[in-house]
Amino acid sequence: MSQDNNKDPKENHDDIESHEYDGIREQNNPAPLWITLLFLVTIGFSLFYLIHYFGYPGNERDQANEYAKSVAEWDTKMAEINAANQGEMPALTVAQMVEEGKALYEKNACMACHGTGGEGNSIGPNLTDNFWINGCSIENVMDVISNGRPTKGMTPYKNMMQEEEIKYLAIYILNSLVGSTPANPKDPQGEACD
Amino acid sequence: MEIQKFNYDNAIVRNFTVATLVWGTVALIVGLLAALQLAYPVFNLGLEYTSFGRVRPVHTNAVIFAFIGNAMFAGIYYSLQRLLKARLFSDLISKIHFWSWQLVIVLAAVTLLLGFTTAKEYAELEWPIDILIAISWVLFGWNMIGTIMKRRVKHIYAAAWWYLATFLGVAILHIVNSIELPVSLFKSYPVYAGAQDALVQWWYGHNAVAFFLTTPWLGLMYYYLPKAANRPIYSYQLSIIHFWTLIFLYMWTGPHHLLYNALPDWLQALGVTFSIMLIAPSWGGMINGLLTLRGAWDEVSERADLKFIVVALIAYGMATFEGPMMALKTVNAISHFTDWTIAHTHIAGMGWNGGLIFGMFYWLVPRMYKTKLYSSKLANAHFWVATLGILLFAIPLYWAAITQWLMLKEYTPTGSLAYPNFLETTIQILPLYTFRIVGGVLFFTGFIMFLFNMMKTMKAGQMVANEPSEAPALVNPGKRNPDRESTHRWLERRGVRFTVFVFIAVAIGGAVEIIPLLSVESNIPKIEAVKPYTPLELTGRDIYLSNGCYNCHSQQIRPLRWETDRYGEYSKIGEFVYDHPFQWGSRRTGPDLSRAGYLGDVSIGGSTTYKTAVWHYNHFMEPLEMNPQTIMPAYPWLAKNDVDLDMVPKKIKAMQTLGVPYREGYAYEAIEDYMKQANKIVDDLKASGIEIEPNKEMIALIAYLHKLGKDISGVEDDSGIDVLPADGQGVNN
Repeated sequence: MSQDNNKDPKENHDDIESHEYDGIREQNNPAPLWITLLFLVTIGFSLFYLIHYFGYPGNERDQANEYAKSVAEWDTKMAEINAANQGEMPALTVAQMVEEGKALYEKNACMACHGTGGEGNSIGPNLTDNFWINGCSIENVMDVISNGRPTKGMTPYKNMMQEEEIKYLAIYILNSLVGSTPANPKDPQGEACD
Repeated sequence: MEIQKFNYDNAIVRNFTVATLVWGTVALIVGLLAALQLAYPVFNLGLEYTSFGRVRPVHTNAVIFAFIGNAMFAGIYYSLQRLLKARLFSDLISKIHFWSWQLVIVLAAVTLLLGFTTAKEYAELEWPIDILIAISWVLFGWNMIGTIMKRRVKHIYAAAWWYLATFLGVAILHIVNSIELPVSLFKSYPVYAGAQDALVQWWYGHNAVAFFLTTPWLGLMYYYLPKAANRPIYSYQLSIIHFWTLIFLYMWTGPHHLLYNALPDWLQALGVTFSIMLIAPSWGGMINGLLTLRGAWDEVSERADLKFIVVALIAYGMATFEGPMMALKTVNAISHFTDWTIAHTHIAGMGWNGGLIFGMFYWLVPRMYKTKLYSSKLANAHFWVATLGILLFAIPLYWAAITQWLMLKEYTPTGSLAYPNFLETTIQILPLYTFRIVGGVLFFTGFIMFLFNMMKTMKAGQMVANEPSEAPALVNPGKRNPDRESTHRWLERRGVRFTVFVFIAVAIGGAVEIIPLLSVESNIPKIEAVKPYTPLELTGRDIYLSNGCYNCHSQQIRPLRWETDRYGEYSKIGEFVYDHPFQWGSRRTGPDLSRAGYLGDVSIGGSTTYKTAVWHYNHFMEPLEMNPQTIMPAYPWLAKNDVDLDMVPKKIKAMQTLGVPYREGYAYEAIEDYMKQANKIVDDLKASGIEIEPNKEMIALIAYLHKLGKDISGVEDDSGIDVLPADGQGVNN
């Protein structure tokens, strides 16, 4: 019992020596200063936080405004980037575009509905035959990828891929998948195309 | 002074101890199963009853209420008698408390696996079990307060303050959060809807952490640490200050589980600020414990019981700093919906609660059995294995959380999401899920060592069921003398008054937050387009709940650009007014589903998560066929199980009682509309060559998924089903 803080003035008043519970005794050392300060700092932080968010009218720090601001900033930034990138896309060979398109086919899990080899399944049509529900030109295919056919099960991808990427994917489908002969092809749907 | 002789009841402590050992083993095995399922979906075992959505609630409930709960009762009943120098109030109450609690646990395990659930995390149990819990809990409180009344010690020691706060806190939380309307013996709907339900649930959820996993354990620390170390408590005044501040502040922090969710900003701000203010009061307990060990550190290095308590205090200090940090919105944007939360809870559960349980029993069981611990070497080995296990469990999950978050918010230089397919982010963290299992196996191995040591010790010793003791009778203490006695010292000998003050401190936070959200309408702006669920959709929703889909899928898009670009328009509070219960979720193991029925404007991204009925059918039957690396379990039984159509009108009536504006008598038209809507989906599937009857669970679940986000999409409703009154203006209040 050689603790240094036993001479606390409260001791006389409270008689800490008398505290005994099933052999457990208590001392009355003051709480370390740093924890007291920490508590005061956190209270200060909380007051600041509440005033920062609600303390005065028109500060617009609610989450709806915060979101609107972040979207506006992003749009501005993207507009600048796109303007700067105009006409800067590298010219790829068809083989390179097919390669890119194949990677995109896997990345976007197209096989979930069209099969790994484009053979189609109970959800999506066969992409290897020459029968097309929505037309077989590159513009038609890009339109389907871009805008989707949500009620038929085709997800719109225009928020997930750039236009260039959608083009690569369409080129992969038209130049590589069409005419290939995967196992278990789905029966043709739509109209034959030349 | 008259010396009274009496016996301590050790038998009840022994019973709770044995129950701890049994349920601890079960809880950890179920935890391992859940961890395996996340890394290798084959461990879902192809059964309805053992898929992750059902197993995970069994794990969480078993750990919290069975393992930690029984240990808590053992620790409290042993220490309370000795601190108050009195036998427990009533042997009969002790017995009923014990057996009713074990009954709750058995019923919980069975009903959760069968799919009877309220789908509110850590409060999943259905209403008959809720009532049983309330009875068992009140018996516990009655026993405790009765013992306080007949004590032979003038003042109530700090440990018992915490026990009292535990009893009152959990009673309030459990009762308020479980107010529900029964539809059948094992089905009920909470009276709160949407954001209100979310707020009440997380006020409960966070304070279950506070009043079941923290306050009783601080109390137990105040008894077992000074007893085991044979050192005086460092600071009496610190124990007073951190007790009152902690129990008062904790009850306000619930909304930090709903940051950036569809909850009013003022509530979120209270959740943030009170969490930050909790750091010092929480650390007060850690500091008082660690400083009590001053001069005893030589012993700590040799004794497993003390080592476990020290690690528990350090884990507590870490978790109570980390928690408030996670309550800051910028950090929460990362931690919410990722494995960060899982890592955090396991540091606290394995380190703090586990550490105290092991430390307490290594000290307590040999004493109760009048023998020495069978092997202190084994106990020390357990300590190292367990500590390593905790680290190897948590580190991969922190890693997984950061990895997944970075991937989810990554954009390509040209401005689209770098990983638009959610599954890519899951596949990336699968190896970490495998690592996590290693940590879990280590922790479990340590537990087996503990179990063996306990059994050997119990066998070697002889338990004294009634341990004789004696103490002078309590003399009626009289009025306060201000010169000799501080206010608090006086309060410590006035049991009832003390209890009343604790009740007030605990009740304020919840009241200030919950009552305005329930009663002030402007907190929940209405959306006219949002309509109640059709009978088929409502049935599908209940199947969603029953299979625990909320354990992996959220229905809450936060107003963060990388969420809206992925899932569509962010969630608004008015969308959820008919949701009894809310289904916002807390962890996204799979993608968010709140726009799964959104066919509106593509430029705001909505329909990217829309999938056709055929897609859903195939995906439920064989998810691996569609996404080769998915960890979504298969649900082929959805195509086999029949819906109990008799329940449909009852459910509509129950919803009407809760204020959902179905037109009068709609319950009697419900089955007709059910079949009408179901047959449409059946025809749709038939067009793709799938034959299924309209009364199968699959059909209802698909209808529910197609309802999510549909109302706000602006697309004309072509279902031909109208559930509202003829004037169409019955929209909720």
